[in-house]
Amino acid sequence: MKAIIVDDSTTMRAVLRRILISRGFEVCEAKHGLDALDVLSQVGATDIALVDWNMPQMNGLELVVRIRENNAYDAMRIIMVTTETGIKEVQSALSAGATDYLTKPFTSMQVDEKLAILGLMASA
Amino acid sequence: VITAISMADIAALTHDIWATMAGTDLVPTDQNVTLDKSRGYIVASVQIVGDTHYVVRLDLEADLVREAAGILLGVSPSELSHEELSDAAGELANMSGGSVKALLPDHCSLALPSVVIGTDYEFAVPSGHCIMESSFIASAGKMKLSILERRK
Repeated sequence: MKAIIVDDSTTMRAVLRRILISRGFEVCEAKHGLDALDVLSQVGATDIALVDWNMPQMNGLELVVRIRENNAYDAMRIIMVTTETGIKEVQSALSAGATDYLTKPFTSMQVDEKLAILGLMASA
Repeated sequence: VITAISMADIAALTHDIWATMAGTDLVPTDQNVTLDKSRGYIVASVQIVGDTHYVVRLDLEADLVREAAGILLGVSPSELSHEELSDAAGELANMSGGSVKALLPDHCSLALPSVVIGTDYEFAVPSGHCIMESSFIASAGKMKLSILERRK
């Protein structure tokens, strides 16, 4: 299983990377939306993308829209990992094509639950 | 608007962030703590922009951030770079700001965090009036969380 973590915070990428690698994922990273599109163009679609909302250059919402515009990424599950918890924000993300939502702060167990819901735990 | 947020809310969200993400037990205290700036002092802040403009500001002893950042990044605190320390403080401010924003009834947005690290400086928010302040103590150091309202 392959995952991409998109977050401008080194710290948050490290936290998520540790969790995903320990679950057997091969992980690549990007610092913002534009960087993520570049990484995806090189490595191809990943099984899951964990995407922060507030990032410089291209935010998470714009990235979700761009990913969903590309048929090559149709199978990718996208989880928004963010402090944005308002109903409007959640609706915007889901309408744009995000699969699910994870609110910071989070535990590794909550990440596992999201992966399990998306069917990515058993085979990870 | 800010009256919707209580000191208990601030204590709960702070404990949640630091305990969940950084394994650090930050205990609220009624005392107005004085930070020891001699070993480094960090201010991490994030703006909440809407009809009213707020700033959530964390004043932190550097040793407290070093311990938390070490846990977050999975490295020894002594091996942390300046950038890693800054990034961890920014992320803690980001989560604090997001949690405060979630308690506000109005629609608003969160800006990217700012971080200052040093030993001898003053940090000011222009036109910022402190409307809430809480102090916290952990084994590695002390922290103050302030919410400021920016008035034109």
